[in-house]
Amino acid sequence: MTFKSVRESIRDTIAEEMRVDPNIFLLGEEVGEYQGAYKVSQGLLEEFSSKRIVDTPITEAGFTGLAIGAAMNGLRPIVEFMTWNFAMQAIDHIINSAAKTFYMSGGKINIPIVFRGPNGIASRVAAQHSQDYSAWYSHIPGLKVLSPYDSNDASGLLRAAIRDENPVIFLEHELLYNEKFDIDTNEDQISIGKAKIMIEGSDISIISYSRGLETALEVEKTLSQKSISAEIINLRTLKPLDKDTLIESIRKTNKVVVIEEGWSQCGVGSEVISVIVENAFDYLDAEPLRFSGKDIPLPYAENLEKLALPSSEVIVKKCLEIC
Amino acid sequence: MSVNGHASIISKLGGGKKLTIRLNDLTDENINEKTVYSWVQQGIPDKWKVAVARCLLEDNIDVDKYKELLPPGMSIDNLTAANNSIKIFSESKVLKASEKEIVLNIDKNLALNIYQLMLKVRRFEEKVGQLYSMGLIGGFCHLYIGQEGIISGIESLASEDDCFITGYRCHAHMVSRAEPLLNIFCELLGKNGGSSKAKGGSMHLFKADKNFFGGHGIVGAQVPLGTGIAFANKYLNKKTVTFCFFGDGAVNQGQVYEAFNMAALWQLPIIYIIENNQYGMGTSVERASAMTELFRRGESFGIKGYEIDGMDPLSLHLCMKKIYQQVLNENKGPILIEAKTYRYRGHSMSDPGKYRTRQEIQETRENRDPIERVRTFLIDNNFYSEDELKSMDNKIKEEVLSASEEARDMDLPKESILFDDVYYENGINK
Repeated sequence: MTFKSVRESIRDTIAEEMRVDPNIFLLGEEVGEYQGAYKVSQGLLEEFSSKRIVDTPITEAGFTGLAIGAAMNGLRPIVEFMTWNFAMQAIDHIINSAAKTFYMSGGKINIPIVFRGPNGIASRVAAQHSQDYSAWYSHIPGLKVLSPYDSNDASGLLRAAIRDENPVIFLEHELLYNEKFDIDTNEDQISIGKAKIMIEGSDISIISYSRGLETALEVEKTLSQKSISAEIINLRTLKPLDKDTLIESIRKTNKVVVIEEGWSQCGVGSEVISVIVENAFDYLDAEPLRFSGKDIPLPYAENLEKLALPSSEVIVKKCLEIC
Repeated sequence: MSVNGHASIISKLGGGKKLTIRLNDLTDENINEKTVYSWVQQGIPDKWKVAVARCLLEDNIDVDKYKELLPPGMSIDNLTAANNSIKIFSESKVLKASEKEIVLNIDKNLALNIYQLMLKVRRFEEKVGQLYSMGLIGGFCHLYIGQEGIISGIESLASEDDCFITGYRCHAHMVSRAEPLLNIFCELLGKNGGSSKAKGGSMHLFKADKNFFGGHGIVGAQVPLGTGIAFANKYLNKKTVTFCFFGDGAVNQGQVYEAFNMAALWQLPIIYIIENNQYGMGTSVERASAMTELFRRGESFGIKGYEIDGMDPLSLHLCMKKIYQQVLNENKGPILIEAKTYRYRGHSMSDPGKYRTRQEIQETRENRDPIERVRTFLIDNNFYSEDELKSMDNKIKEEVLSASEEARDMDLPKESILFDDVYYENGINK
């Protein structure tokens, strides 16, 4: 076991894969000389040179289209968005040019590309720089959507993403970059489409992804003090969703809680609950609980920002009501 | 600086005669040779010093040494910036091969190739128009009729390794990249055997084995994509040129300029071709573009632009050939071409046609038609007789007819393919 930050795990995985395949390159704003806006690409320019660590102008639509074109023609780009908020400038290319081309061409042209960067709610940067895009990209056929929580997820899922022959959306979290976790070398490459049961439990299933798992783990701790055994499921892959693991868990615990930072309408939580209601309706002993970001643009003030996000106290209270 | 110094500058710049021509090109003023010769004795007048310094900079002659030429307060850096813009503006221009050049450089075979491809595209598109009117083709359908000179003039100089990408007016590019007509008809008719398994339709045609990358439905999207294709070719050290086609409507999309910037920044081997058919849907260039000399749209990125008559395929071929060689062999990419053309049919099949007159279409057809132009060339040069050309046309018509009939007899795609090709793992011909 080694102990490593999420940030270093991402960087090291990119480097390891780039050493093996010369057609992999990283491009984005400030990835090279600046060493990455969030220092994720630190040191890569020195090892791989400016041919493969490509600093772009601030031109998201342009460089996203360019990278997809390069992927059509034999390269395997890793596109870094400084944050996913800026990818809205480029979402047309991600969906219309990357996700749909393999189907529209009748399987002639595939796009092996990874789009990655920090997603979700950052700290005190207000609405335009704080949003969870998980539901947006999970909606699109042709995309795979991955959402790592710890260092293990970060390296194992990213390796799978880079080796995948399809466009992959890789949603990191700025507030997890500095967190350090154990690395399980048995999970060098994590299968896309498989959720992970982080803690086994028998009374209630708490399902989340990315930083929502911090909250989920806090809730689990409090519940366990009250002798309630919660099962914690880390989705890892948001598309394709690991329905089997979810259904199996609900058949065991008969209760479900979903936690996400994103907004509730048409969100990841609503999808997870739909899957459970459709497939394990008879096993449910209580109404499914959904906790999400409040239905407002994220405010700036510290207290308001906190209020806008799911809180473990509220979740614990609701869980106790149904357990 | 002494007068002797000035004399040596003039000689370094190729002598009085050459310098006169350059100064006239560089500025709005008229200056004659005699005056420039007089500077050898009298020194360069203040008024002309900056222009002369620009010439030195252009020729990479050590300007530092001659910085006294510059007026107080002007640094070499200012001059560099000024020089870049002057250089670019003076090089964007209209290109045209003369009749003499065409006769000398285009032989019978080449002219025939261009002619036959144009004719094949036209007969194909005419048949597509018919099938659409019969209700056999669904959705949007954009015909290339009138614009055939562009793809034919370019295909006849490109190699199979060169890459093509375009927007949704893409049938002609499939024909030119030698996709069997049957497969294209099947795609348009939504039948089994279609180029994209009947999943893409008219706007999403691809021929990956001949480096045709589609067929893109979002106006302007093909420009960054094409730029990426060129990026990959450069990255992989492949000696090829990417031809990226888009219309006069696409030139006002922001992403086009994002792509231009990166292509110029990284000197990518790409030729952008604006197929200016005068109307983006029903909006004329004048009603859509503040600056209508579209070939100059790359100037602020240092991209040289040329206007070429797209209705004159032989001239276009010769002009493009020079540019192609420069991009291929001399790393002169990116280059921007505006090919002036005209579409005889509506933007798509549902075009009400209220934005232009019948007379305008009629006049263009009668006076500027690219196929007629090359036909005349083939006859005037005694390469082929009217009868021979007529029988060629009949043969192409037969080929088109039989492919379309065969496509109509094909089955609908199997329902079992519905979920194929969403992801690579369930791609069938991966």
